[in-house]
Amino acid sequence: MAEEGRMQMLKKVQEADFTAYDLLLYLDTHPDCQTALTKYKEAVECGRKARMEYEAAYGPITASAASAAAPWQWIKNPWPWNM
Amino acid sequence: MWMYEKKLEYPIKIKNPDPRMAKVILSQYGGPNGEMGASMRYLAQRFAMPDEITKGVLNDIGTEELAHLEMVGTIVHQLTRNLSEKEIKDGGFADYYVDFGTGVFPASAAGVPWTAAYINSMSDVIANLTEDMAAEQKARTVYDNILTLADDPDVIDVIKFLREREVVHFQRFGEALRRVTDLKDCKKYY
Repeated sequence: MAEEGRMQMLKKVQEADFTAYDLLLYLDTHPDCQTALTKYKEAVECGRKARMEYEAAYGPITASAASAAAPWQWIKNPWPWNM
Repeated sequence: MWMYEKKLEYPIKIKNPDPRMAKVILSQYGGPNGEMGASMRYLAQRFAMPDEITKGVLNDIGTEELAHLEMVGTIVHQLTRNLSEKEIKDGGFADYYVDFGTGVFPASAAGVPWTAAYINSMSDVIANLTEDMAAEQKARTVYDNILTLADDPDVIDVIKFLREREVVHFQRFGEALRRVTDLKDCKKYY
């Protein structure tokens, strides 16, 4: 199912982005922790790749990623609360 | 500033409507311990933070709370999608429905609208951070109460995620408070 595929691909972005954000909060109070910084870098890179794959298949996650195609893709359904 | 990302922090896909549960969970949107209060509290308190660590913690947790506000709104929206007249009446939703339909309005489960009286934002950093730690515990308790009332696995899964974030935020605020206390001991009083 196309819908299943979208959710699976988006989940990869969500997993990587969440990992990065949790590490970001940790780094705020542990700015000298090299281990956390390395993991943060990995999560950000993983998220960047997953995001590019998702956006190529299903459309922009950020508005700036919508600049390539006409008509304006940003407003296209589904929005997150309706996925 | 903030830029929108067209995704939720954690996936939500609720298949079955449940207006009774929607009203209960709405409390974490605009109730006394909800995500609207959390985000407004931390993002306002940022301006009083004395050092880089505390500025970062308030800014970044406040930002995550906006994502949680969106998640709670999404749960309420999905639980009230395509309600029948019978579901509205039988689900105890008529008192909400009469004023808001199935719109998402920031109020508590008992219908009290959100108010800034739920939060404080002072120049006293220690007062702010101590309030923030209590706020995370109170929000965690509300999620515990929601888990007691919930029976739909689609809902329970998301609420468990949100509950866990309260625990992590409490930890980070505790570290920020310790940081501020250390600073106070070494130079001047804030």
